[in-house]
Amino acid sequence: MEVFQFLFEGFTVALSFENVLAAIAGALLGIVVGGLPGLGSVTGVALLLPLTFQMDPTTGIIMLAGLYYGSMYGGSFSSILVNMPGESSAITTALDGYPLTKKGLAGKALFTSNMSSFIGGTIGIIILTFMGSFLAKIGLAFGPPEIAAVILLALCSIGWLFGENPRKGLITTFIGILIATIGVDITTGQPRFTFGSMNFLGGVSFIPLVIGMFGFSQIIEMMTQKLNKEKFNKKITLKESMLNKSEMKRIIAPSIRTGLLGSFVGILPGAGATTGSMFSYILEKRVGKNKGQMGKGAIEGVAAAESGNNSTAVGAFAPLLSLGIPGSGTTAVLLGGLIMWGLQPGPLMFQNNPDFVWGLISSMYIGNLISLLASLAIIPLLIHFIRIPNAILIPIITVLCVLGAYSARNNMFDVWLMLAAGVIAFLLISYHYPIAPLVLAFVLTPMLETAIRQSFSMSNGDPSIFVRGPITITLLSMIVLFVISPMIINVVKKKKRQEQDSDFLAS
Amino acid sequence: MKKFLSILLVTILSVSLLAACSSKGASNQSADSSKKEFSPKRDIEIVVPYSAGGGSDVIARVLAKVIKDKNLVDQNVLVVNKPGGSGAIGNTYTYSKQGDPHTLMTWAPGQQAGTIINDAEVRLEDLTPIATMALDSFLVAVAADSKYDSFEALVKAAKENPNQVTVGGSGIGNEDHLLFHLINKHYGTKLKYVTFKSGGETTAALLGGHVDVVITNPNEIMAQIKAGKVKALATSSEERLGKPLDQVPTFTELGQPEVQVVMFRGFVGPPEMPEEAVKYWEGVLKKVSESKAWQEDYINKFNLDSVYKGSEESEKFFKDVLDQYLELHREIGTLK
Repeated sequence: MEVFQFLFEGFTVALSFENVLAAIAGALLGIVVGGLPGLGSVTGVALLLPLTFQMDPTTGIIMLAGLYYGSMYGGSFSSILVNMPGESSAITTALDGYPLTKKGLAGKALFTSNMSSFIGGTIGIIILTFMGSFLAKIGLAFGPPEIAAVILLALCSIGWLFGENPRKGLITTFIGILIATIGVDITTGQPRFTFGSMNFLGGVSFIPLVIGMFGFSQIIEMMTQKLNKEKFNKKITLKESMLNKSEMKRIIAPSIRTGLLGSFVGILPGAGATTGSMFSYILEKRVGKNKGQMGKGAIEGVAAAESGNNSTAVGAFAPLLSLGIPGSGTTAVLLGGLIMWGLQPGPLMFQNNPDFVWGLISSMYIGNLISLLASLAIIPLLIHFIRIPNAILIPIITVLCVLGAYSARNNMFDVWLMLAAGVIAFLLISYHYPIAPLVLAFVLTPMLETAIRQSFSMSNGDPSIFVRGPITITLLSMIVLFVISPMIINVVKKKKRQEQDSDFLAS
Repeated sequence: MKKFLSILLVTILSVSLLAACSSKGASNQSADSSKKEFSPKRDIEIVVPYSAGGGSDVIARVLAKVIKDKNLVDQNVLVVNKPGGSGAIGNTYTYSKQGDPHTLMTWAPGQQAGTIINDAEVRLEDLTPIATMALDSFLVAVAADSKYDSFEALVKAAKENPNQVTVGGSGIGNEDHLLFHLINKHYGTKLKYVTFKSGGETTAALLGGHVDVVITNPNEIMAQIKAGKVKALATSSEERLGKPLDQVPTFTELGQPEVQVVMFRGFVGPPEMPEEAVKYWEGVLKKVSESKAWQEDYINKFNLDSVYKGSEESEKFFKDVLDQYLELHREIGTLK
């Protein structure tokens, strides 16, 4: 097969001394960048980009790509340990990762996160290797109406995250939607609910919101509840952190499922790793074996989120390399870098720069492995972190929250926003309103709104555009099925029970 | 172990604190204006009022690189992104550095028009124009297999089927939308505008057949044109562009020279920047503009037109472009 030959040649490029070194450096930097809240992969790549101009383009991109997926590993650490996503795509990791830490299973959560990141990343790379350009072309078939249907399908399942009280979950979902409406309306170009503030023109910024809602609210809770960490104080050994055989078995199926889903999401225009991990979590919550425990500290939840965001990060390279179209914010920055190196990312790149493209793809196999080993090696150090007494830990996390909120846009306003979000989230949590649906709605509904309004402007307001092709029709039928099936099942169950009852009476 | 950890943490904290503060550091001390020759005394900050990866970010980073490679300034040049409020957050930040000769900011037409449309506090007249470095143009492009072979065919179809021919662009009130408006106005067409969030998404929509036409910078679509996936029907540049776009007619050739939206990339400084500092930066930017590295790494790679206008010339130029934009904004209703 031709692909193997290219891949082999790619490995000869990727395995040269400086390229291996670049992959290692990139992956390690990525783990650090991902681990620091506020400093995400987009910023990391943008910061590193000018430094790579002196290098050979292939070496440069290998380093940058290493940073990108390395950050997917690092982002989960602070999610799991202190409930503060280091990278926006690690929000869903916190949903199960932090409860696991509370149970004293931080080591297992970290181990799961690393393993499933590796599985997801590897699936993404394999798909990129063999089907990249084919899938990128399929991605093009997803125009606004199709994207709208995909997101609607995901939103239909948001109810699974509501927890015990669906009414409260619904309320926070709507709060998320309300916050998301702030900013310039993209279809008319008019500011919406900005109250005349320049800071709101681009919408409520996501990173401070997340840091506040997860990290800072956690701080307030720790302080008010005087949570003592006695149970954390028992020593966690590396041995205990390892997953045993049955646990490994439990995370493999979710990792593979969400790895496939994530690779696909990465190919869609405008959907990045955050969307990928959210879709993956929702999928697992829907079909997983252990879905009842998800949200309360299930390793399956961590596995789904992490495998999902890693595979999405890799998947986003398919449209970038084979079409020259960036699928996410980070790949958009990479695209600028490629042009500055004198490469022309586009349909001709596979033909004109095969060394570059295949060198990059091959280096991903190596970089992914390095990220895994490095992340696993850090676990013993990380589990010490949670044994730090609260009196020291709380100030440190507070400073990290402030720094993270500030550094995302270098804007003091975002710090106030983060603090406000933290207080609001703390109040919501105190009254048992779940935060996850709020954040999910905040990310997904603007995408839905944009796609729906784009569709309507394409069709001049004709709704038939939503049933224009096989993709939308399939997706919409799935939505109908999802919505109706519980009702039908209920009716059938009731009937059965009635029959049983009548049988019982008759006998 | 505990001791080691705490030392490690403190180091990390202090380093990151320092990094965050260094950008805010000594901001308001203006250089002593008694000296005639200005030379930078501390790190230079290039403010980009948009996020990383965009056009303003690219010019700032290439500039920083050329300055460093050519050793034109003997201080570090840092690029600082201050996105938000269509540039207003960055504008306000630069404004706060009153009289500071060590701060530059990227300046573009959408940014200056945005200050009026959004009723922002800091506007062109509050800042110090320094230089204009490049001009960009727009292409009207369709998919290679499109039934529209020429711009005339497109106009004809759009007239026959009002609101049926869709044009993808990057947003209401953006440069491409203003050009879209001018095409409709001067050719009497009724094309339909569909907003996407980025050039990449717009291109994807064109390739996927979700929109019929796109209006975009040559840079965004060049790869597709070279690969034969997309063909350009018209260019907004005054003269025809270089190969492989030399067959693409200008709007003047197409009978409507009025269809013209100027897209420039320049730099401004904080208010009351000392005169000798303005002179200094004019000199540096002129040297950059004339360097081979700049022409190759920026102008050619991004398919731009190289120009250089100094401070005074730029002030007038920025103002003229702003007036044109505001007039167009009034016509399309984004400015009351």
